Amino acid sequence: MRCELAQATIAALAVGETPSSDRHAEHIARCLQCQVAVVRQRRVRSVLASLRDDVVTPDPALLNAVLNRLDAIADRDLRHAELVRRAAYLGGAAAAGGLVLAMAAGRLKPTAAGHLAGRLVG
Amino acid sequence: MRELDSLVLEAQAGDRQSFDRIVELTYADTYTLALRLTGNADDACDVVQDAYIRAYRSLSKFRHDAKFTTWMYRITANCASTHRGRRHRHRHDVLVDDHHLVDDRRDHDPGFVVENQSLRGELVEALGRLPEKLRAVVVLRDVYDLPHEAIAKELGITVTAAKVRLHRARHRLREIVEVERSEELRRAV
Repeated sequence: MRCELAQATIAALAVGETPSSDRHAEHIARCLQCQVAVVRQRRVRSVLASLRDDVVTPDPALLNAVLNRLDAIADRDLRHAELVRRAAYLGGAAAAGGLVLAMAAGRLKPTAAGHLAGRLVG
Repeated sequence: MRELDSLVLEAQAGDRQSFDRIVELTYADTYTLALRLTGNADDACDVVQDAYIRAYRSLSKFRHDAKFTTWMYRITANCASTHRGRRHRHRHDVLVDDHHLVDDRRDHDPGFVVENQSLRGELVEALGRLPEKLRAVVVLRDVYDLPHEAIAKELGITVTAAKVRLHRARHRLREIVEVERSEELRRAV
């Protein structure tokens, strides 16, 4: 068997998986070149995993940039919440004003106005 | 990391200062991943900023069933993918696998000649030479140990596509390292 055909099995063995082909696994067990390939791939994997511990120090300005953007977002969220609160207040006030005017014009009985006001509040 | 867990709980309860402290503790790590994904310091800075804003906005969705850092890695991967999409809107990488970079001459195979440190440097350089789409999967899987499903979700691809990319990425990585070593050996001889 040619070593090239066993590449998938070499890759599987390198990551600790069970090889799907017994024929290829048997070849690797007898072939020094393929065994070297398995060990080399394991080593590559191990070194890649160790890169996680290598932390690159960013430009110190990055921290301030992130915090400033978070400040801006938090401010915008606060302003938005305030606008929503005011809009709700103004909407409620306008509706209440409308009820009072309707009652004053005699178009609405106080009991019906009470029901409507109850709905607005509820 | 217990400090980080407590800070996350406080930030989830609305304490903004706790979130700032989380940023201070984790931004170098997040930047490192962003740099590895984008291969460029400026892009990495943009990705880090976007990632923390997304984390801040969706902090209530963090359920503590994974580490906060892992959650942050996933957000960073997603932001890097989005950033890349914006930058390459009119371009795309063709994932061809027809570059035969391997020097098949076994007598030129340096095997275990180099020490781990040297291999480390070679791998970092080789990662930088991979196309971004391939680099993302190999960094997220082999360096940051994210599961295939998480990688697929954050990159917006299927699990099968993620596995195929990983296979290609590892193959290309090996090719690049082996060619570099062969050339180095040739120069030395």
